[in-house]
Amino acid sequence: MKCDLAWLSKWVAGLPPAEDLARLLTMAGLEVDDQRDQVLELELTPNRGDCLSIRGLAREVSALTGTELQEPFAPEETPGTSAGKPSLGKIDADACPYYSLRLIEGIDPQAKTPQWMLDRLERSGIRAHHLLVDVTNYVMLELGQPLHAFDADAVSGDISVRWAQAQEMIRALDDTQLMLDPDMLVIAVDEQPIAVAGIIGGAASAVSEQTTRILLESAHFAPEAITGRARRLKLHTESSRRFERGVDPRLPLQATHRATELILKYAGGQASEVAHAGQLAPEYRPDRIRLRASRLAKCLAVEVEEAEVGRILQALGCRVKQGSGQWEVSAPNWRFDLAIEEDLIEEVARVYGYDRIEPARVPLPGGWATPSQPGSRQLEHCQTRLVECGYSEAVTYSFTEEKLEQIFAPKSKPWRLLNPISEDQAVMRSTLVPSLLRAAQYNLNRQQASVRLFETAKVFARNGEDVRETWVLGGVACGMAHPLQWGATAHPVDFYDVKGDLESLLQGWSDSLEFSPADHPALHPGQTACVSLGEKKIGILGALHPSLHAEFDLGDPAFVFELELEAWGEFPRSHFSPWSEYPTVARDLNVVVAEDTPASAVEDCVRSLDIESLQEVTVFDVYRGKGLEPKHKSFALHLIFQSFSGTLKDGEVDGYLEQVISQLAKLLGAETRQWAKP
Amino acid sequence: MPQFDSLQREADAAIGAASDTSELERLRVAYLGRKGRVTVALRGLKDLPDDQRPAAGAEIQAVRTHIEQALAARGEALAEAETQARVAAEQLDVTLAGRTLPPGARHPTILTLQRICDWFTRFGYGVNYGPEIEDDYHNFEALNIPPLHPARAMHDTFYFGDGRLLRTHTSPVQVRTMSVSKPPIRVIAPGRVYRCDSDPTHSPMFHQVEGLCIEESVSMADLKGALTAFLKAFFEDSEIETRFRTSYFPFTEPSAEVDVRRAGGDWLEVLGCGMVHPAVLKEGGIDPELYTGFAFGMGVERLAMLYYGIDDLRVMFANDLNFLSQFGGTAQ
Repeated sequence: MKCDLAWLSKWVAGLPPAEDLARLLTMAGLEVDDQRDQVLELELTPNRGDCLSIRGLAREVSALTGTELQEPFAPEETPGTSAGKPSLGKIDADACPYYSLRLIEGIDPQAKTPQWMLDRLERSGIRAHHLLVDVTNYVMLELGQPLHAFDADAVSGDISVRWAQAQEMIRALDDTQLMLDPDMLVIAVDEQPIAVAGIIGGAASAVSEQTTRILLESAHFAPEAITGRARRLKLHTESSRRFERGVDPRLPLQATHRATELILKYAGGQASEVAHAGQLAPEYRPDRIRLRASRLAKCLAVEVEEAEVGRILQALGCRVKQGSGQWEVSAPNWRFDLAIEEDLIEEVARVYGYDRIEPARVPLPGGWATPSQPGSRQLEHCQTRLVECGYSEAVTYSFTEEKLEQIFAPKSKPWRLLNPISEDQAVMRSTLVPSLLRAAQYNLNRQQASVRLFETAKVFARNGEDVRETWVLGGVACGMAHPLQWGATAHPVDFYDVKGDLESLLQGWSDSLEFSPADHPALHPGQTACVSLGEKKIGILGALHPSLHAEFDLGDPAFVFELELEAWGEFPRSHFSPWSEYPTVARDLNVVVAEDTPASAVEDCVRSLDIESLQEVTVFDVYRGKGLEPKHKSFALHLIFQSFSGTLKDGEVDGYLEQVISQLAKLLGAETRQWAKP
Repeated sequence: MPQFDSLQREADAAIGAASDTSELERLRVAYLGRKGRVTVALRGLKDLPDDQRPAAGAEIQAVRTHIEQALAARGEALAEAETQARVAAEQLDVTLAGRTLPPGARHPTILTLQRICDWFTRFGYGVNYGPEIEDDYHNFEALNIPPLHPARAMHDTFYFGDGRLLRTHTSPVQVRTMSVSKPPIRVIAPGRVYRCDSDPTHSPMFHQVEGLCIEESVSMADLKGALTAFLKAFFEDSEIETRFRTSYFPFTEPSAEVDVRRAGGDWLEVLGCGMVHPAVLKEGGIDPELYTGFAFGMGVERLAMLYYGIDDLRVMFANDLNFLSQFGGTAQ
């Protein structure tokens, strides 16, 4: 809404300077976005439809500044002097409590809009058309009442106001073909709709530069009959904007007279009597609102003097009856937003000034706190630990391409948006991995040598008819494992780099953390592990399947992981345990096994002996090739022995090693050779 | 005695000529060792006549002391020289880069979201995320936004077609919290929200943090107090000005929008807030006559952009490492 201050000044005497007025209005809830050249650009909230006119704004400024509102023109009745009073058909009284129509004929089609009116329209941001349209727009801006002029020659028959039929069609003023819903109100002649009530007129009855006879419509449509419909028709008109928010129901007749006066004055012609249906509303809204002084003080924590409260409410147009410690308030009929006590408290507060409420000290909770949902600790832990491991935090959209969702989660039936912005944002994702691969692709395409990204977010799945939302951690690593640095060998990131990151992340759960071979439709069948904590599967780690490299424009392998955060359970608690002060004895072994024997089997085999002084078993190398039979490999095993009761003797350790060697031979058929003692 | 003089002269010359500590050790053995010349000479004292023995003894002891001192002095000098030589040979180029796996970076949006939550949790606010796929009731109706309400036009909503929708704000968490908790309530709800709107200054997904405080008697003064203190802490600027101006949200009454201004700057809108609307309290099963509350909501991207000086919303969702790497691992 643009407000021409020169126009406004005709309604309120002694306007403050533009800048001060802008600040005053902004603080009081009528935000001024811009002010230049004596025009204020207002961003009005939906509750203040009453301010969508110069008179409405004038009322507001008058209340805020305490200056008198003045009427710049004498409200005159324009008597009907010609015959041809229109005849009205059935008017739906609930949706349209008041409807009026007047015929004006003998209009000079050559008549020009006066320059002063053109100026005001232009400064209000309304494009000029020709006199008849300009006058209806002008009166709407001046008083707030939308008007519509039909070309009377294009309309013959009784005019009615009714609900549309399903799929009823009308060609609108702007030449678009509209299909109507049954909850849309239309103006109709016989069966034919000639306008969508309060929203837009029809093309067939539009006035033109040849029009000499018009039917001037001025009506009150209930906001409930208008709201939402324009949006559904993808329309946004000055008229619908006002009716949706509520137009002063006393206005229609005034506006008819004002528009008639201007048309007759500038284009000549004679007006008929006004045909109308329904009643004009009374001055005040019927329900009285009680405002208690105690409630006001409790809400605002300031003492506003009783006289001040009364003055503010009256200045805003309310009728106020003061009782003991309370006021009985009738809101003016143009304020659709005043219905309950809190609405009046806001009115008092905003005119009194929000800035006069002193901020209180923030109280500390008195020994209680609303408990947090579990999970925030896991989130923070992932974020901190993965950043330490070189991963950067990504934020990707929660919706994704259906194609990717199918590749990564072929069994999921994703939640599909009815109105997605685009097809690549059409379904809610059940995994973060494709989005992270896309982000990695973006960076690799921009010459990043190494990309490690993670994200913590919710994913969405179906649980019968219900939505299952789960917090997950997703990650991707590709390119070089480390940045190029001197004295260190560069290598592309591999499975074990990423596995190490997850081990580091889950260090607190290391007692139950396990990685076991697994399958995943989008991952490399030989390079995929299920991550579990004991019996509970918490996620997956693996290399992207080579057949998907092209999809993500990847030249080299990419490793991805995804863990469900809620599956981790409580953070394990640290416990103290004593350690031995006696020296350790280390021995190394080469264990030759078949290629399909996993490292974990060798370690488990050694541990199965339950040798009390065996502290650590580590595979520190894997060898294949010369000296070994085909399909065999050799693990280099580092064993550390240490006793809690004394220094171990060479003989004792030799005995343990014999047990280890024979156990490996027995359970795994391994051939084991001891390294020379250090 | 002359033979002792020459012994001392010889020793002095040899010690002076020793080029390293091992040579010096060899000389110590040659003179002072068990078979060393001084030791032998001392042992030979017993063969001397009684009258010569004390004088010769004194003399040879003096030679011994002299050689010991000379060895020690030379030893110190040589050790010092050797240390110097070693140090000279071990010079590093300290400008060469250190070896590390550099830490990754945090996303400024999530960092900001956590900074907001951290401040409020210190004042007893619990964190509640709430679902992102919501229903019309929690996202709109319970918040006093009936169907066809003009405020719905401010929320371009993604729908699923079965009554479900993507939440357009974090405010539904207000009602969800009230329906399971009894006052006093202090809760903070961070998370993703969605609007069907995409252009350079609007993202279809962004983050908000909602706050709710319901007690027997909280007022606008408490609301102003909490948010003023928060904004000073958030912008790390105790001089920052705040202003609360009247606004409109269907679920708060009175409602306000909060602007901040730094010295010499313009007013910048940072959040919306107000006293919880009685209709919302009732939906949450709370008697508005017994309890009052305030609520607030802020856009995390906007606050992050103001805090870090980011001028383009789109970079917040591109995940470009050139961008992310500016928001250091543990720095805020």
